[in-house]
Amino acid sequence: MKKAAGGIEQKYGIGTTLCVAACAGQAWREKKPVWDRQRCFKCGMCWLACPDAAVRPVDQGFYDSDPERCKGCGMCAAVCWNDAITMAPEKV
Amino acid sequence: MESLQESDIFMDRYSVFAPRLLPQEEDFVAGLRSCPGCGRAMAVRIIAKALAHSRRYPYGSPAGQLRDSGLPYSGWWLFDGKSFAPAPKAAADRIAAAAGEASSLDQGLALCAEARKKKQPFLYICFFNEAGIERHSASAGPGYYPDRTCGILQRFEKMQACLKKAKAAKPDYFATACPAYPFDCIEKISAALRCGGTGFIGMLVPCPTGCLYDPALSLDSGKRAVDTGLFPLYEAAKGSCTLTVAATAPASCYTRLQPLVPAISGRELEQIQNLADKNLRGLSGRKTTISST
Ligand code: SF4
Ligand code: SF4
Repeated sequence: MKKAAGGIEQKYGIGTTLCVAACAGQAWREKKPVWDRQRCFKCGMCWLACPDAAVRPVDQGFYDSDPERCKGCGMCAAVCWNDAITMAPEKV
Repeated sequence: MESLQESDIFMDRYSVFAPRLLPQEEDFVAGLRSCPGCGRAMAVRIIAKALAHSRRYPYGSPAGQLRDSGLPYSGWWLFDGKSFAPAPKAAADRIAAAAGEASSLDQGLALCAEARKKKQPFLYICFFNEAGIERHSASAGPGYYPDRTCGILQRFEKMQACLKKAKAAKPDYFATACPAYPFDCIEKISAALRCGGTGFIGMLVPCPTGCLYDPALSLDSGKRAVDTGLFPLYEAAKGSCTLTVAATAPASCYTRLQPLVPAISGRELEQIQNLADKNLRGLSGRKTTISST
């Protein structure tokens, strides 16, 4: 990737590996979705609403988020018909 | 009261499981660089679902490619094993569905015209960013971005100007959509592909970063824009124009959610309401649609 010396890339670490390292540690995410299987009726609405394709089907037809991809936006929790998802603070 | 059709009752009862009927495979590349709660990313993902069983695949605008490329650097547009051709001519030869954004409106309409001349099926899905749109021939004046004092009226007025321009190009199928109503989007994309001619879908994409609201409210904001009539969802085909989602909420229902517009005057609100009323004039009817919330 082309880097502009002293530009925005340098300031924020874009084009270096700093942004990748920050992402890998989820240092930027404040909250993460937590599924309550007692309340979930497996409709898949959270799976459809995730703008990052981070919600994935897991065992027994339930859903969970991919921690590598989830940005903690809370859209999955907002669309859940049955309040089965809560946004829990991310432990740093 | 309208009597419910048997199919409507079926939809009402089982609609909650509708996402399970969609293609489960993911054409959309996860790990993109868009903001949390990006309406545009959700729109692209819905388009990918709608096109999953089709031979057609979208053409992303170069600007969209650059801005929305994935983590760390790869492009995140849709892939179906073939690379898409970025040149408009090649696109019109081979690509039947397109996704661009408002700034590529002229380019998309030119592709539509070319496809129509060649009698090829072609669908152009044009994204309208909720927070503002860039300059093109349908928007007079300089490039626009909302600030603290103004915005809502200008933004939605410009979207309507773009839609008017697209409508003037007389596509065989014309519709508006919003990812806040994902099944409505999918139905419209399918209808546009079925029509076999040229299609245009104007899609409102909520933008939590541009409008500065909580990303979790992204779909709620899109839903409010639709429900108030600021961006009514309708389809126009074979001479008829049908509202696909009822729009009965007052304009204040949308403005309330916008932190960039903290104190809106009564006169401004009236102007916004007038725009919503104007948008809804001439539209009637309602089909059963499942919302996301
Ligand atoms: S939207 Fe809610 S009820 Fe539906 S699958 Fe997701 S968590 Fe379960
Ligand atoms: S919080 Fe946002 S990014 Fe994470 S799984 Fe839910 S919808 Fe997807």
